[in-house]
Formats: sequence, C-alpha cells, structure tokens
Amino acid sequence: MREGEQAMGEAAKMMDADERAHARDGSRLLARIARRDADALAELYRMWGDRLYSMALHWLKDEGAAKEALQDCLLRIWKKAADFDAEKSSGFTWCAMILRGLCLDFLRKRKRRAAVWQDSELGSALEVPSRGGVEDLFFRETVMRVRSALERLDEVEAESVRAALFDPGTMVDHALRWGIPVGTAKIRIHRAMLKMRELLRKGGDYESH
Amino acid sequence: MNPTDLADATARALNLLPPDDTARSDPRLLRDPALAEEARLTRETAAAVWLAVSPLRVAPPDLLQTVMAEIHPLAAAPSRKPRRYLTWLAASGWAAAAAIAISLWPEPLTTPPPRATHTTAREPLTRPAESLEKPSPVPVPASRDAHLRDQIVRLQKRLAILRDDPTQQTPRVMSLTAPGAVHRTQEEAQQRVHSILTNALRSALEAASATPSDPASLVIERGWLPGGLTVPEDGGVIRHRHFPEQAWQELGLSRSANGDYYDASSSTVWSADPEGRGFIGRKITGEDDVARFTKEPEPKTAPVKTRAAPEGFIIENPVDRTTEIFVENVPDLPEGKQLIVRLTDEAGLITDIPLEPSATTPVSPPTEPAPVLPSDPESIPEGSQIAANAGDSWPVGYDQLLSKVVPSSSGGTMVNSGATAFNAWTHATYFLQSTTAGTTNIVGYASAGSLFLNLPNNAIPASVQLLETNIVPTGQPPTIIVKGGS
Repeated sequence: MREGEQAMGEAAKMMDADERAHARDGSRLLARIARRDADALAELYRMWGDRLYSMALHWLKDEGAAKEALQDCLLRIWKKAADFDAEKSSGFTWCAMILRGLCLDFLRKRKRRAAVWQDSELGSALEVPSRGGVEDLFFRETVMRVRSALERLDEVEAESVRAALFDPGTMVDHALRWGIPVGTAKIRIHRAMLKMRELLRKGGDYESH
Repeated sequence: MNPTDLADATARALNLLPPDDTARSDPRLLRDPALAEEARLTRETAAAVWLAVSPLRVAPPDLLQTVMAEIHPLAAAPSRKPRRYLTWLAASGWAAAAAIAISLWPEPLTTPPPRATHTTAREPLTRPAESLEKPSPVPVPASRDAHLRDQIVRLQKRLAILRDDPTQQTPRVMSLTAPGAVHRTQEEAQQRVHSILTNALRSALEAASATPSDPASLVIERGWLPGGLTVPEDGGVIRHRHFPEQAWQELGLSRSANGDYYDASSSTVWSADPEGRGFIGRKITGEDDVARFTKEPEPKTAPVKTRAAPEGFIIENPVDRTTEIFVENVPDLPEGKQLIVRLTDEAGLITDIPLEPSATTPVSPPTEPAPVLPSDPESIPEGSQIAANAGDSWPVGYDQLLSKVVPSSSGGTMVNSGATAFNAWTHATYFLQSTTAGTTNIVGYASAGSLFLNLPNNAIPASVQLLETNIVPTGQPPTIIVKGGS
C-alpha cells in the first residue's frame, strides 16, 4: 500500500469549520453508535479509519496485526459506545485509547513469547513524518503543534515520551532500562508528558485534535 | 497535589503500570477530580502525539465490510424473544410496588424487628437515588415471599432493558402533554419513564423492609393501617410513603401546627420525612406534648394543594407492537363530565374509549368480594383473563395477583388495579373498558390521578388524546387534557 494513498477522503475537504470541529470531537457519532446506528459506525470508519489504522501499524509494524487490531477496535467501539463520556475525553482519544490497549496487549504477548527481545523492537521513533503533500483537514493543526513541541524536548524528555507512548513495556521495564527506581521513572515520564502538554497548549489556539 | 499521585495518574492513563502496582487499583485516581483531570489531559496529549507521528496509511478497504458483517446480525437480531410489554408498567411499575406493599400488609408483626430509632430515621439514607440510576445489580432482599422477590427481579430487569442493553430494540417513548405545556423530547420522556421505574423499584425494595439503610420496620405504600397493626413499642418506626393527609379528619387524626399528625387510637405520631419519602410513624413518648394536636381544621394555615399539570407517556414496543399509555395528574372530573381516550391511527381512524366512573365517588374500601370474582384469588390460574363490570371493586386479596393476571394474545384484556382498596380516600377510580361478545373487559384504569391503558398487538396509534367531555352531548368541543403523537 502506498503511503498516503487516497487518505483523508474527499469528504473531509468539503467540510466547513463546524463540521471539522464535530469530526474531531466525534461525540455525536458515538452517541448514534450507542443507539445501534450502523451507519454511524461506517461514518466513523470513513472519518478516522485511516488515522487509527496508521497508528496501529506504527505501533505493531505488521499490516495483518494492525488490520486485526483495528477490526477489534471497531467492534469494541460498537459494543462500548454507550460508555463513552464526552467529559472524560474527546471521541477520537477514546477510540485511540481502545486501539492502544489492543495493540499493547498484542505487543506484550509477543514480547513474552519471544526468545530474544531486540532493542529495535522497543518501539517507534518519535518524529512527525512527512505527509507527502496529503492534506489533513481534520488534524493538520494538531500535527503542526506536535512537531513543534517535539523539537523543544530535550533528549531525556523525548526518550521518556517515546518510551511511554510507544514501548510496549511497563514502568518496571523502563525503570530497569534507565537504571532508576520505578518511582523515579514514573516522575520522569510524568514530567515529560506534562512538558509536552504545556508545549502543545502554548501553541496558540491549540485544540485537542 | 502530591507529585507521586500525579505521576501515578499519568502512568495509569497510559497503561504503564505493572500488574502488581498498587496504583492500578487506587480509587483516588478515578475519584479525585484533579487526578482524573490529569489522566484526561495525559490521554489527550498522548493521542495527539500518536496521531502526528504515525505515517499516514489508508485503512484496508475490506475491513469495514468485515466489521459490518459482524455487527449487523447483532443489530438486526430480535431482542431475545418478543416480550409482552402489556404488563410492563401495570404489573411491574407502580402497581407492583403498591401490590408489594399490600402483600406485606398482614406480616408486620412477624417482619424483622426495628433496626433503628426514630432519630436515625431522619438521617439521610446512605443509598442515594443515583445508585439506582446506574446500578450495579441492586441486591434483592431475602424475602420469604417468593412472589415479592419475583416482582423485584422483574423491575430490575425492566430497568436494565431501558438503561444499558443497547442491543435491545428498546421501546419508543413519546410524550403526552397538556396544551401549551412544554413538550418533552423523546430522550427526556425516556429518562422520565426510567425515573418512574426506578422509583417503583425503590418502593418495592423499601416495601420489602429489607433496604439496609431504611430503619423502618414496615413500609406502607398506600391506604391506612388495618386494625391490629401497631407501631413498634421499642422506639422503632414505620414509614408511610403516601400518607393520606387529605383524609386526616376522616381517619380521626389530630393535627399540629407544624404538620404532624397524631393517631390517638394507636398512640402514633406521624411526621413528614425530611428526605421526602412520605411520613414516619412512631409511638408517642412522654416527651411529646399531645396538647399541640387538635382535631380542628386550620383554614389559614392549611397548605394549599396544587396539582401538577397532567402529563403522560406513550410507550411503543417495536418488538411485539404493543402500546402502553399512562397519564399522571389527571384532574378530577367536574359533575356531568367524563374522560375519553381518543386514539387516531395512521389512516385517521378515530377510536374513543370512555372511562367509566366507579359506582361511587369516592368509594369506600371494599369489604366483600365482588360477586363476579372467585372468592379465593389464588384460585385464578396464571395467565387467566377476568371479566368484570365497570365500577366493580376488587377485593383486597386481588391486589396480590397483579403478576398472575396477564393478557391474552387476542387483546382486549384487563389489568387489575385493585386501586379502590387503597386509593379510595379522595379519588374516584375509573375503568377503561371494551366489550367483546357481551363480555366487558377492562383494558386499563385511572385512579388517584393516574391513568393506565394497554393496547394489544398491532394497535400502535398515531396519536393519543385524553379528553374531557360532557356526558350528555351539548355540542361543545371536548377539552384536551393531554395529547401526543404525530
């Protein structure tokens, strides 16, 4: 599959600002899904499917596993949409966390089964890739801010964010690798995430997505 | 805020905690608003980073079809087996709660001893209403009465269907409102019905006298204490959820300036429950000043009773195509007037169902079984249909049969209200009737300001009106009490 091929969909380009805001939020779609509206699930897939699949592939580095994870994720969204609480997260984040949990399970199982666990399998690089000219109408603002924020993290902070967000290991694994107590590792990751959050927030009129 | 807590909140939000980390099960991370907010912001930040750093790919085009193929059987599947909703409200809602209270009636002398004093009765109950709004299964009281237990379980199931079973084809709830009143949205109507069922469940639980937090040894739903029933002597209390304040003189009570009542025949003082759950009855003590109670009415201080606007709901069950209608706060009828339920179908065909008033208004609690009914209510087999004449009063024993009398498949069935037994103090009881082959069938009832109507299969109306008309036609248009539908 060619990177960026037909991504984002023509429909996105035709949306006005309100519709894009709604697309980022997704709570109305999830409310429809909670009412067993299959069309709403299809709409969610058309809106976020590419992004969710890209994230799964980035974590798993396996197209078959990523596809399976996304499929499980959509089924879980279908079953659990009634649990979604717009006050606790945006719709996209809620879906992303479901996908992340599924991928983490997959990775941790694979790690337990692996005879040798290579450092190269620890996780993805922390950099915003080139979009190859593909316009991301929904999340362009977010991508720009994340790129800017990542450039302002120092080496330890960047490694902490990378480990927290892309390594399948737990806090104990990170602490062991860094040679520090678990409590210290927790504080280190918390501070790095806090700085990342502040940098994103200071990016002007930053919105969650 | 403790930095360690914040770090734990972050680690937990990102699923980084190992299985043996105590923070995984630390409830503060969920309940503390600041820590919950920390987790929320962490997740939002993480999602933004994941989104931005993942090279964009097109999702497999066949994936959506695979998912749809999996969910469509779920979405289209019939919701378990078709349910008969005819008894949903009548037999499982308010009526069930009332029936449960009555069914406990003969038992107070053998029910569990009082668990608390009058003082603790005034303390806030530890089980708030919210815990019923989002239950976790409510514990079913260990009642000796299997029938009662069955009623409570049924109520819980009804609530569960409305609340959190999204695979169900849940009933469509529409609002019936008085002219000029604000129309409820469908969601609001659904919530209201849910709330009513929740209250009915709470009533049922309290009636079982097994609610752990309710110190009352007996909960009376409606009516008045039968002879021989007394309030516990040792400081215990009983609760009356619908204390008949309007009938205090008829009942021979005395009233104080602060709204307490005194029943000299049983030496009981009744005070309004601060929690709004009716009245609390307790034995009078030496510290009470009986002189503060008087039998004289106090017109100047008597509370002006205001009646809420009539409001109702239509519940359509798409599974078996039955419809239930209920209206609250139905106004008392002036002389010469009658109530009519007007149903209009999709083709515009109008069906009027008159409400026939009971024999007397108000009626007295029946003491003898109506002659058309078997003397032994328990002899009525499950699922049987009982014919009755308009105005018949049901013997008290029939109140316990609500769950046994279920409609036949042909429609035109009855619902036993039993209402005259315990609602007769100030309100008339009406029956909605249909006549088939010379037999009068009760299809609903209106009592104590409430109206219930059950429509059989394939009788979903396009619109519903409750009208007040002249018994003798005068050419005047009817007055609309509530209306709804398309």
